[in-house]
Amino acid sequence: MKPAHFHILVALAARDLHGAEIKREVLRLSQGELTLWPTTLYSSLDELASRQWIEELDHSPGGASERRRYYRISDTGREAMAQETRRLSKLVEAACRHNPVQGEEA
Amino acid sequence: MTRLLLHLHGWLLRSFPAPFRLRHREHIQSLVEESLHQARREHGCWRALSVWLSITFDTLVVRLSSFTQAGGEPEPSPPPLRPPRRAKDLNLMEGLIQDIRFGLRSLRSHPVFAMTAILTLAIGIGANAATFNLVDVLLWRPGHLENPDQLAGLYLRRSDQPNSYRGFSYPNFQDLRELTGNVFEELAAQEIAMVGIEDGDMARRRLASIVTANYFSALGVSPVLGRPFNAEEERPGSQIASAVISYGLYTRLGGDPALLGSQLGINGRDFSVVGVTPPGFSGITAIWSPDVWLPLGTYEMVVNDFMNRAGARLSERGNHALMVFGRLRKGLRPEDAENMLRPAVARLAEAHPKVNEKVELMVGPVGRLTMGTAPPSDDALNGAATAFMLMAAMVLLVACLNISSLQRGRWTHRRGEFAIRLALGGGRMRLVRQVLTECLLLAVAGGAAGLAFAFWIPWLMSSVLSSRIPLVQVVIDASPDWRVVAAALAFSLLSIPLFGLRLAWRLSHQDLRQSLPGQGQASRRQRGGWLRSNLPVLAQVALSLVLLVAAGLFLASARNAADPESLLDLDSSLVMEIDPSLAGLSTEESRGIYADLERRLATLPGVEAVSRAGYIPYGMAVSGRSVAPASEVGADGTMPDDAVGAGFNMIGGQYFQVLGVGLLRGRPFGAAEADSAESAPVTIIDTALAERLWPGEDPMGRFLRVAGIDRDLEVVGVVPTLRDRHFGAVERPHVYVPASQVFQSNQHIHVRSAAGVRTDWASLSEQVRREVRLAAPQVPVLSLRTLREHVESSLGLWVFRAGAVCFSVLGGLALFLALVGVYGVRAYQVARRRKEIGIRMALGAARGNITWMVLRDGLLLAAAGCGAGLLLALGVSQGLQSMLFQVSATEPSGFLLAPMLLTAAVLLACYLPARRAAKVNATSILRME
Repeated sequence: MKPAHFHILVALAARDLHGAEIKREVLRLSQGELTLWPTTLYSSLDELASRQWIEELDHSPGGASERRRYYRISDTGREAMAQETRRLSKLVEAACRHNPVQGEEA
Repeated sequence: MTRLLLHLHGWLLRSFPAPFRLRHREHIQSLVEESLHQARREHGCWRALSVWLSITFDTLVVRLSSFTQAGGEPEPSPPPLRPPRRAKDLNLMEGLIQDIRFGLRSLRSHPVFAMTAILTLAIGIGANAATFNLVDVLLWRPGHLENPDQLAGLYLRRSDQPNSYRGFSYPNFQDLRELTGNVFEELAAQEIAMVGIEDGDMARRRLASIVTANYFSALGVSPVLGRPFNAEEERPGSQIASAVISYGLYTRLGGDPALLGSQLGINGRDFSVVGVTPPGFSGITAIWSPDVWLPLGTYEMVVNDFMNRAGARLSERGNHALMVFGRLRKGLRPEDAENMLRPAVARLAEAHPKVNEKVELMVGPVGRLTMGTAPPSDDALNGAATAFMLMAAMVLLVACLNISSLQRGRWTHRRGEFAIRLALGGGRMRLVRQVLTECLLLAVAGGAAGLAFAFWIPWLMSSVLSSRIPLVQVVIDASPDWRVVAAALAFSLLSIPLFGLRLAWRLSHQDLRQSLPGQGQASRRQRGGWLRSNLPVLAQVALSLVLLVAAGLFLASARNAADPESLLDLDSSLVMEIDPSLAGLSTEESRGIYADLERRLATLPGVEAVSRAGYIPYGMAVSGRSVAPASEVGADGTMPDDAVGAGFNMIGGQYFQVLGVGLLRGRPFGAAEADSAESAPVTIIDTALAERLWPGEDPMGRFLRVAGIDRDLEVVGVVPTLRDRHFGAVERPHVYVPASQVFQSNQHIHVRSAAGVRTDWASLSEQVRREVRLAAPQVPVLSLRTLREHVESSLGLWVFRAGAVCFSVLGGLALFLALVGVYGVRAYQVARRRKEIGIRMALGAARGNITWMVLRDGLLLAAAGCGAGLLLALGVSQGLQSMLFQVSATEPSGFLLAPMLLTAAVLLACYLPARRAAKVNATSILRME
């Protein structure tokens, strides 16, 4: 899974968000490491939607501005996220076993 | 700016498939806008720009990756929401975008070709844009003057002697100013002088302009701080010590606005600073600037012998001290002004016949780099600039030929592609457009890379020049100029037809259907002879040779300029420059100091001879005076019309001994003659002057008169003609008079070390400094170095060296490009002949034979290219002759070395493909067939 997709899924797992909020949330989650520039953001959202991992909401929650489009993670999306999380944590575990992170010893 | 960036990004979004665009454009745009605003608010404009670049790059990457994922198939577009009203425009636009997209993709898939082409073009365009920028800075950029076209210089000359220009006296200038209100909006005048500006305990000698009150308003400039001068400060003899300082001096002094109104020590007196000029303002000249401007009322306080006018008063009508320029009324041309001024000049001549008879007034341009009483001549500079730009254009031509050859290799690969497109019904024009779009993309990328190079050059020049000319400030506006950008763009666009049209031409004239895959490989064989297929490379080699020969000539010129006069001994003496007037000392005190110093220095251990001199060979200033046989001078001291203009120097008794020059006839000046004004008036002349004054006769014992000295001087010695400057006629005559006969406060003292002793120049310098401190503690040493160091740092030598560097760089670039071009073509030809080579080897040809076969072709190429190039170079070198220093147009080092270097380079470029050819495995080739 592309890092951008994973980050978006993680961001949407907590609550429904619109485009600009996703961008901010991803920036926060990655501790400033990953900036989703607008074109990447919307093309990623398109791709995720085409896999039916997320869906676009018909109406905005709480009657917010009409122009904003909110996205919600679907059940298949949660499943995909969980799989990717498991894969990544196994990878991290394996990496730590073979090469103990030097920062931890100090 | 944000609007523009948003717009550009929006334009880029249009290249996306319609469904994506319709769904997301609005959201993307608003997010982009928000990001830009936020970045600008929090971090400023530059950050916003960098965010925009990131966003744009991201958009491009997403777009390109969608191509690779979708296999390049554009997605079907949805039915239009509105009936397209401008269907044709839309198609054109869409077509263009598609072309660009396709071009980018095609270049991306051949990265080596794309990088080589872009680099080659960047070199060609960069060299041109940099040259243009250099010429622009030197010759065209207007500086900080308002409407520089309206400025005109006024020049006075005797109507019977066309080359005898002189300045204006202040009373004459005042009369003119009153009489010419209908011609000039403002008429202003100035004089220049060397002044000592206090700097701690020292005084620094710098250039000052002494100007009229309306000087700044005539140039259309007002001080950024303080005020310009007023009429009372201009009045002769008013002696109000105020000064306007340059922005450069202002920053050197700390850049504190409190400097305004403070005191600045100039020539030992306090001047109050009343104004600061704007940054970048350099007075009436471009490039170099005085440090201070003083009002004309201080003329008697500061003027000195820099222009040979010590002692004269400003209010005298006979003191032709001023250079005059004016701002013409709108719509007047200099020629009109000249006609309109005739009556005024006639009235002046009527009112003051003694000084104004037989003069005529000329109106011409003001000098851009020079300031003087004669009209400026920027011809030499213009010539050099033209030559330089032509040479740079040649580099661009070589670069374009190079790409043209490269394209040919690629063309062979793409014939099949084009043929299929034609066969499927693609329009021929559309293909041509496609090719030209690709060329455009290359040119734009090359141009952008070249531009960066172009902006770096003036900055470099400014920093080098500043260290070279200590007396003045160098003001070079190295900021980006739209003209340079425009020039780079023009060069880029110019290069498209040069390398793109050839391909487009073939495309629209050949029957490509023959090139369809499987349609007879035989037709790919090159038709036409060796010459035709190698023409672009031949042209490259020939042009590169021209540039290399030019570089060789300029290198020889720089070498000669470093040792400009074989008679001068540059390695045996120190030369020191001092100026007692900078410490406020009088003429009598200064004379005493010079005599005392000469005596003291002569007693130092290891010193063979000591002599003072008014001017130093290859120095910043030279002096010329008219000289005539005494018998031809009128009873009232007027010089005859055919007086000879000769280089003038005032020297001590051991001057020629110090320089290592032997007298041809007679004797040097005796100690009494050099020191005492009452001694018998004598002079030494050189052979050139002797030949001019008394052709074919013996000059010894004859008498001559030098303008400015009211006595007849007896010729007691003859020396060889010495070349003492880098520019101007070689055989310039010289007259030398004893230092006692004239006085100037700024002099040089030469100290020659004893022959046969290895001198420790540093310790000798220290001893000389100590003696100066003992003899005259308050007088600053302006410079102290060996004569060799002095020549090495002279401006003339720098000019020739700069020329050598510029031309060597151009020659080197051309050589490099030719190398790449030859290599590319050879490699391509070897690849094409793989089969033939395989057969030859199968039939028993040795590797050496194959290598030789390829090298032989290269040798032929080098010989033919060099032959054509040498003919061209002969013509070009004739044109360059006037810019060279003592180098003949057929200098062997240029004409022998350059072809050898080029031939070696061509052979090297051929050797690599030749080696690859020899490694061909015959069996595998034959099996493939």
